[in-house]
Amino acid sequence: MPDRTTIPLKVSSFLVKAGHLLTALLSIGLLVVAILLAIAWPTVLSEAIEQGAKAKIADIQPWTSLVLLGASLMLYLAARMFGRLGTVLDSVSSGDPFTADNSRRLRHIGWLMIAIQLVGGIVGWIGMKLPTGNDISTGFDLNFSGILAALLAFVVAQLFEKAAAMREELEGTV
Amino acid sequence: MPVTVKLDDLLHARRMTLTELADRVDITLANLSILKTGKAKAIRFSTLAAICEALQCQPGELLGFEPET
Repeated sequence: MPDRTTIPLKVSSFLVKAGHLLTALLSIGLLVVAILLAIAWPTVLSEAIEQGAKAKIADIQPWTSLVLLGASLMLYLAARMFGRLGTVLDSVSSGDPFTADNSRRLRHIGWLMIAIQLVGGIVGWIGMKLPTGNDISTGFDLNFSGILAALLAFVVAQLFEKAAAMREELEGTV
Repeated sequence: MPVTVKLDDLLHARRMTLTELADRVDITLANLSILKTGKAKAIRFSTLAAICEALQCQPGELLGFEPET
């Protein structure tokens, strides 16, 4: 019978690894789409115009590619975040989570969250340049819960640093 | 470390090995080893009590103090 702590740990570990894989794949996928679109946009657009879509080439590009690149970047940052989180979780199951390394990883996660917010804001702003009325819609409001999550990550990093110091103090106590 | 642990002497006097002591008290051989070699930074009272019980001694016989000059 597994003890109470291993099941939530296994679930978290699975979710983090799944998130890592998913965001990494999506990031690469969007990057590929952005590059392909940048190369192929005249063809794509002339086909769309033939089918009756009302759009000028200059309206769509380079903004669409930039938005896709931005989204790809955000997903890449999210993948890195999941990666670090996974490392932290692994250290929990290996028995020694309260280290300066984990404190550093958590701080990086905080910075990555802030970066995602910033890139998202820029992507949203670029998205507004796309002509309204077509099927593409982008929007990214400054996410309060995102900033809160980053703050939480920094606070937890501080906790880990204190815990590491306390653990080190206890080392050598018999 | 000004506080010294006279575990060697006591074990010898009681004709006991470190392993035997580890078996008698609820302390790992590793921790007892740390204590014996003077690498311990602190000792819990519970540990001290367990050792004194097993070796039939007083804390003062187990621990010494040599002020740093």
